[in-house]
Amino acid sequence: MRHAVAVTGIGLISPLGDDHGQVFEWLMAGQSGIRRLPEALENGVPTAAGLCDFTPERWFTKLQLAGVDRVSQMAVAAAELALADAGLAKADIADAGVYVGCGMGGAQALETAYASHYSTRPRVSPLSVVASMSNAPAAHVAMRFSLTGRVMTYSMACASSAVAIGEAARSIRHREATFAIAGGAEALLVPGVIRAWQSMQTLATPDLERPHTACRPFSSQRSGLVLGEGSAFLILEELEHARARGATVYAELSGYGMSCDASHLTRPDPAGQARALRMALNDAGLYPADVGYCNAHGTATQVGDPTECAALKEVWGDDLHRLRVSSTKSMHGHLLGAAGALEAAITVLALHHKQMPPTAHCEAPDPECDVPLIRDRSVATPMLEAAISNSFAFGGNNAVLAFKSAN
Amino acid sequence: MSATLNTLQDLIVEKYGVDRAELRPERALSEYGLDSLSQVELLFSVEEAFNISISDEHAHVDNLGALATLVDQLVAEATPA
Repeated sequence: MRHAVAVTGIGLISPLGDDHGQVFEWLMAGQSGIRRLPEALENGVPTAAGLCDFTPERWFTKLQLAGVDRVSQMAVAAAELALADAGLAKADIADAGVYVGCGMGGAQALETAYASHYSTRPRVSPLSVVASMSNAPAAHVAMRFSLTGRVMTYSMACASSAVAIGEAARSIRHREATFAIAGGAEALLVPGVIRAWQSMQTLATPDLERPHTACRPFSSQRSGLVLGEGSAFLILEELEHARARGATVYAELSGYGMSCDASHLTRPDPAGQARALRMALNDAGLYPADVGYCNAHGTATQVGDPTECAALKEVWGDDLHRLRVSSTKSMHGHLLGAAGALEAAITVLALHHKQMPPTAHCEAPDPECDVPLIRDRSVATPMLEAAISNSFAFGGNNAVLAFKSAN
Repeated sequence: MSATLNTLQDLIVEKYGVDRAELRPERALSEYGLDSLSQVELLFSVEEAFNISISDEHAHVDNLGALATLVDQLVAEATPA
């Protein structure tokens, strides 16, 4: 008999702030945290992004900051917030595993090192390697809480942190630990990386008067994705343990599905996504008709959105009318390696508050995206019993997390 | 106290937030919490502040007093007679 897994803590460093109650309120109101990048970052091309108003001083002394990239700073901050939210202290979680998704690692450290390397007087910081490695965020979280067990990093682009959360849940189900700190972090908004994304011709073209509306998933006016930065962590805990200590159980993490398209690095495949969706539902013991809400991957790319809708239609079939779909990336942008964790947190909050956030800026839906979209206005759903969060990555990795109401 | 030592103390206070009262010339840099890699990074800031270049053979100084002596020596060498 496997253990049930509860979500008992949520910590966010996001473009909409670091208070998950407030973040959820912004989302329900359709409020976007996206803005135009500062001139120094956008390489002469108007570009919008989900930037965080994050300063590390609340979490680190200056001495502790030596060699700690922004991505690791955000990870430690979000993990601290999650632990406090769960009503736990470091001493309570000695056996916890750390499961972190991260796409790129310390982009700022790498950018600074390369800039110096190619300058007339190259001098690269000796801390560049340890600041930029992709497992640095997980290592810093482990050190912060003195966690000496499984400290894992998953790097599958946009699916990274959904996978981290899914794998963490498996570890609790299989009784390897009572707790896991699971989530993701990404902070790659530096000029060189932004230029690489610009070169890919996949970023949204913002309306200069209204840059906060740049990300328009499922809209016929969508023009591409909007990069974001930040971190999100969940505290996962054995459900019985959580109940026994009287913890707030936001939701149960009941299913996890994972597949790979194995066909193209960037062109998504509805069949691969459908496999991950079915696997997650099956793992959770849910029928499609049981699921009331889908927090979609919905990046607002031309190909991605209709593909995801095709996969949902295939799996939900005649029960599609029971499902409501939204992409909150319209308001926080695409956090890449941290996207799955932020959106899992939002999905959990939707179940907890019994309310579903909308897709913002989707006044004219694309006819190809003909799934029941929540647009512009949030929806109260007192009967919401189950919800899923989709994360579909470059590289073809598809991860789906399924959650059940704790009530 | 030499002006050089004073500037070095300013640098460390600014960069690492170490309490100024703790910064004594003979105290090992490691005792402030600076590990070997952080010490190398500190030398980068010192090079910039004094417009000097500290070679690898000189890069192993144990304390602030020795660092101040090294900086004075390099500054003198860099200044035309």
